[in-house]
Amino acid sequence: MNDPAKDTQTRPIVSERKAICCHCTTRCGVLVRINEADLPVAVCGDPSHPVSKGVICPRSRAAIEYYNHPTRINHPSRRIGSRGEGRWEVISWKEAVSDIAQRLRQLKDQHGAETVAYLPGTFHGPDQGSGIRFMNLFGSPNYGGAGPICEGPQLVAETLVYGFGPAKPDLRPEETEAIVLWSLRPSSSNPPGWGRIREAQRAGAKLIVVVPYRTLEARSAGTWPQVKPNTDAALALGVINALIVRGLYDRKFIEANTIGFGELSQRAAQYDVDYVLETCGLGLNAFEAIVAALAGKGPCSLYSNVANGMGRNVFSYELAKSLLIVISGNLNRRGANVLEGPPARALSKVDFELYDEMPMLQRQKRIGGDRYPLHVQGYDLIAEAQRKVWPGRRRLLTASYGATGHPPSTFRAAINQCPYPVTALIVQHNNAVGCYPNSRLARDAMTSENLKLSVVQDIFLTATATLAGYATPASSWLERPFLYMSGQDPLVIPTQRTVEPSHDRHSDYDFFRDLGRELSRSEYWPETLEDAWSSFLEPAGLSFQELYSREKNWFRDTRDGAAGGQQGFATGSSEVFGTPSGKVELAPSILKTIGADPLPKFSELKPTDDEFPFVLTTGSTSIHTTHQDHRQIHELRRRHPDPIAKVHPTVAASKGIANGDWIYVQTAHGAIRQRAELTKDIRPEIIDAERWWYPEGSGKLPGLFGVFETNVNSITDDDPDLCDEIYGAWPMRVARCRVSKADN
Amino acid sequence: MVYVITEPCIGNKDKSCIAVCPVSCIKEAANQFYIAPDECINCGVCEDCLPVRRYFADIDIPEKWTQYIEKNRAFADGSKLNQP
Repeated sequence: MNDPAKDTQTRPIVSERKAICCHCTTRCGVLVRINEADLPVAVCGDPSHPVSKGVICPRSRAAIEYYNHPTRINHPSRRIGSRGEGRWEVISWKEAVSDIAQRLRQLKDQHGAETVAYLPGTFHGPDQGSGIRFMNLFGSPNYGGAGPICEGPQLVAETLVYGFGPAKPDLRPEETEAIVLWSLRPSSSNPPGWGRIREAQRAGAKLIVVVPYRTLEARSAGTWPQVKPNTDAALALGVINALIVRGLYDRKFIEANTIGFGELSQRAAQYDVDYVLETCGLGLNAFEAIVAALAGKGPCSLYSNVANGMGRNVFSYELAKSLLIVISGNLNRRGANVLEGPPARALSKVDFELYDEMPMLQRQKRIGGDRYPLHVQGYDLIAEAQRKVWPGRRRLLTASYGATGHPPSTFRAAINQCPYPVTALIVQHNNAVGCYPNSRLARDAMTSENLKLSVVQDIFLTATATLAGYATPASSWLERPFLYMSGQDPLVIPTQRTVEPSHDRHSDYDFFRDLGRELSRSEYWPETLEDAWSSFLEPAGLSFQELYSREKNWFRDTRDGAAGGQQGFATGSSEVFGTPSGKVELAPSILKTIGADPLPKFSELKPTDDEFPFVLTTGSTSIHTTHQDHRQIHELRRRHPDPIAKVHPTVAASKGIANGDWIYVQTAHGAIRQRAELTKDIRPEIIDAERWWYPEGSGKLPGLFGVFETNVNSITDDDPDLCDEIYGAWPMRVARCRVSKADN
Repeated sequence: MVYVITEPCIGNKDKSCIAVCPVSCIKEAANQFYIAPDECINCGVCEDCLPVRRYFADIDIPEKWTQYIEKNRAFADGSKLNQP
C-alpha cells in the first residue's frame, strides 16, 4: 500500500526558495527545494549569499529530516502528572497562552515582576529579541541564557575598550600578512569562514593557531602554540608586554587615540617571557611566532571567539585580546581587524528589546547584579558613552550580552528563594538540564516545590521540557521568515518562510507577542514578524517585503554605501570612539567606575592533586552537532553515535583503555560514561569530554534521556566563587578529573 | 570521518567538485581527483554537486571501493597537500 506521506515527499521539485540556515550562528544562505505538494524536500547552498557563497554543512542538509522528525513537539501540552512523569494533555495555543498569562499575572502580584526569569538558549531562528522585549515590558530583569559562555565577554570587553565591538577580522588575500586564530575551530563551527582563511593562507598569509589540541586548523598552520587550557589571559598579557618592552607597539596610534597606556604597561610588565612560557606550557619559538605575526609590517587579523578558559580568566582574556589588537596597530586597519559599526539607518534587535522601558528600580534587582555590577550600572554607562558617537541610538549593545542575568544564581534563587523567590521560569530553546555546569541544579530548580510555573518552548521534548508545566511547540527556521541583522555590522538580509508552520508550531515571536498582548500594551506587539522587521527597516526607507522581493535581496546599511573596513568607519572619524573619554581606553574607565579592576590579569588554576590529576575541558565543536542539538537526527547521529572523550594514548595505556572503550570520567561532582578516542593531538594532562543526551531514551525522571549519565556538564562546577569575577562566566573548561575503564 | 573519491571518478574529471569545495582540499592526479583527508572538513558539498555518486563519507563507502580510503590518503601524503 502506498504511504501518502512518503508519496507527497517524492513529488517533482518545482521551485527553490531562498532561506538562511539557523542550525548555528554562522547563518549560511541556502536554497530550499520545494516539490509539487509545496513541501521542502532538499536544502543546498545559495551561491548568491554575500558571505557563505553556496557553502553549507551537514546540519543544513539534514534540515528536512529535522523539519519532518516524528518526535518534534507539535502541539501545546500541559502537564497532568507529577513533574517528569511524562503525562500531558494537549491544549490549544490560545488556552496555553491565556493560562500562562494568568499565572504570570498572579505571581507578579504576589512577588513582584522579578519573580519571573527567562532563559533563552540556542535560537533556532532570529527573533530572540522578542523575549527580552517581553521581559523589559513585564518588568523583570532576570533574563539570560548562555551569553556569559558565548560571545558576551568578547563583545562587552571590546565595547569597553573601543566603544563598539567586535573588531571583526577584515581578511583580504594578498594584503593580510598574518592570521592568528585563537581558540577557534571554524572548520566545524563556520565552514565558509574557514574557507576564507585557507584562501588567504594560499595567497601568502601566515597562519598561527593558538589552541590546546592539534585540530585540523592546527595541522594546517605554520605555527601551533599548544597553549594550556585557561592560560590564554597570561599568554595575551605576555605578548602585550613583549610588544611594549621591545618597542614594537603602534606608538603613533596610541599617542593620538588612546588613554591608559602607562597603567597597561605596568600591569603587562608582570608577565615576562619566562613566566608566560612556563605558565602556558609553550616553547620560545611558538611565543615569538605570535609576537612576530602581530608586530609584522603588514596587517594581522586576530580571530577569537570563546576562550579556552571559559571561567575565572575569561573576561581578562577578552580584555587582553582587545588590547593586543590596539597595541599591535591592527585596530581599524585594512586587512586586520575593523569596527564596522552598527547599521547606519535601520534599527536592530537591540532597539527592539526596549531595555529602557524597564523601571530603574527593577533593573537594580537583577539576580547576580550585586556581584556583577557590569550587568546593571555598567550597561547604562556603556549606552551613555555610545550615545555621544551615535546620538540617534538609544543603545547598541544587546541586553543578552550586556545586561544578562546569572543562571547559576537564578537556579539557586528558584530553590532557596534567596535573594528573593524566583517562582516562574520561561525557557526557550534551552536544554537547561544539560547545558549549564553542575546541571543537576537546573533539574532541582525545575522540580523545586518553590517553582510555581515552568514553561518550555522548543523544537523537541528535551529533559528540560519534560520537567515543565507547559511545553509549547516552536517552528523551525524553514517555517519562519528571517531578517539577518547582527547589529554588529551593516549587513541586512531578509528571507521568507519556505513553508507554512506545520501542526500548531509557532515562532518564538508569536509566543511572546501573544503573551505580551495579554500582559502589556498591545501596540508594542506588531501582528507578524514581517511587520516587526518592516519597522526595523523603515528608517532606511524599506519594508521587509520590498527588500525580500528584490533580485539582490540584501544590502549593506552604511551611510556612504561603501564596504566596511574603512578607517574609522564605526565612529564616523578616526579620533572619536564610543567610550566615556571618546578615546580607546586601555584601562576602561567604566570598569573603574563600577569598582572593578580595569586591567586584565591571570589567576592560576587550582594545583594538581592526586585524586583528580587531569584537566577536564568541554564544549569542543563538531560539524555534526550544534551544542545539544541534532542528537536525534539520524543522518547526523550515525556519523557520531556516542559521546566521545579524548584521551592521550600514554594515559590510556596506563589505565588499560583501548580506543573505543567506554570509560568513566569523574570529577568531584560525579561521573559520566563516554567512549574513549585515543589521540596524540591532545596534551597528556587533558581529558576532553562532550555534551550529550540520548533522545531515544526515556525522558522521565530520573533518567531524563541519560543526561546525567553521559553529559559532561553534569560533572562541572558552577560555584559563583569560581565564576569570572567581573562578567560572571562560569568555569566549564577547567574542572579536574580522573578516568577509568568502564564495563564494555 | 572524511569524504573519499572513488572509482566512478576515473576518467571523468568534470571539475565541478573543485569549484564548490570551500577549503580546496580536492586535488588532481593523472586519472582522477583525490581528497586530502587532513584537510577535508566533512561539509559534504562535493557529494551534492555531481549527478553520478563518486564521493562517499568513509563510513558509507561501498565495500568494493574501500581501498580508495587509503588511495586518497596516500596521494595526499605523497603530494604534501596539507600545505596551503
